[in-house]
Amino acid sequence: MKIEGLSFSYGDKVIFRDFTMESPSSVICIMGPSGCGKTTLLKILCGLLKAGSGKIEGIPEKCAMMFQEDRLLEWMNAHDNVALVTDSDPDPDRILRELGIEPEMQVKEMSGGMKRRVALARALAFRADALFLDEPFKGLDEDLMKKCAKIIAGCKKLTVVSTHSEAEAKALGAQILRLS
Amino acid sequence: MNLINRPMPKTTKTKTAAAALFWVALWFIASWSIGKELILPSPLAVLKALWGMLGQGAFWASIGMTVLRIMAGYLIGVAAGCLIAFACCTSGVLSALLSPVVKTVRATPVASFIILAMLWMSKGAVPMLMAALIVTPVVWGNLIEAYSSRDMDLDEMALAYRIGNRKWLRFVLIPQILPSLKAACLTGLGFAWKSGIAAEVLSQPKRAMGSNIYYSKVYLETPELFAWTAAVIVLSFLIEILVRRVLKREAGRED
Repeated sequence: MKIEGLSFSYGDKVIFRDFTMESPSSVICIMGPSGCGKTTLLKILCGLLKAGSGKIEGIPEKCAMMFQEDRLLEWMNAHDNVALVTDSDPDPDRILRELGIEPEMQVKEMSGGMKRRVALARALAFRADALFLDEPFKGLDEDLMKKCAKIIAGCKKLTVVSTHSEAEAKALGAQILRLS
Repeated sequence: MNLINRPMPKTTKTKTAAAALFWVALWFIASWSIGKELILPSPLAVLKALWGMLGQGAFWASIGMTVLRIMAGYLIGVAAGCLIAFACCTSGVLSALLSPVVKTVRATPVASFIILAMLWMSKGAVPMLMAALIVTPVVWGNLIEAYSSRDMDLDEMALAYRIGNRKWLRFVLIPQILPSLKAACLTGLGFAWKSGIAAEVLSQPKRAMGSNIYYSKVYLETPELFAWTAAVIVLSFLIEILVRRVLKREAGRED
């Protein structure tokens, strides 16, 4: 993945000015203080935000974005939330079960950590060529975090993760990119 | 008294029955104190008048025609409100064109519309039009508000996962706006009923509850006037229960 001369602002607030980076790794962790632009960078990379200027290379066309908020449809169960985004996966429940979630469970009855795993399952089931995960392990205990990190690393896709934790980056075996 | 985090007080059937008895007793006392049936008939006189009416075919025909007119207008109003809201949410031009019209209709006194409609159309069509005109802005307003305040994060998620317009509409948007539509349907029903009866009183079509209310007033038959009004209220309650059941069943299907 290569970024050259990236600029982005929210109105007058400049988030990136002539930002350049290159990484040979397929798993990258973006770290940095709150408000430094981690989420913005993920959204630019997956095409949800348009950069003011700059060039981005090495990003596949089909990307899955796991948002900082779970953004699940609370009126549906876990299976329906995952099945909604995937037409190609014949068994969307497999990934849910792998992450320890009962597919028929209603989202509104889930704990924060369970919702996080459903959001992760949705991103994985989308069958994208790249994963952009914004704080994917928020609300998970260490064991679950390691389990999820193993599943993510096993996908062998370009994966960009935003996190505040060195331990999470280590669990993913990722190259760390620090924003300030 | 702590007002925070208190559950809604429960109303039991016994409490409701006791409350009804209390108000009927109050009515009885008021009627007895005034002592003039022409001003305020007693509950017994009204019951007697209603009992007499129940055996008449004309009473049931009036009920049937009134329900038909008002419910037809109500359904047209709900459909029109949904269609106009959809148009306003999808096109800026249509929104600029239609929103002022709906807002004007909402602000116009119902009596003005009734009198105008009496000049333009048959007496029987006036209550139907009034019910539709009252319901349309209620449904439109609730849907526009619900659409504007929907969770935009979910829209961004839908875009990111390329779920397409049809799936977005069915699984993301409609579940968010359905409670507002349901509330609009119930609020609109009460408005439709009131405006429809008012239109019948003023336009006096044949076989109409409103016309009978008017004639009772003209012939100074106050117990009959109360009996017709009681019939209107009971019907309004029954139809509200029916609509609530239909909406609940439809919501269950969505789940």
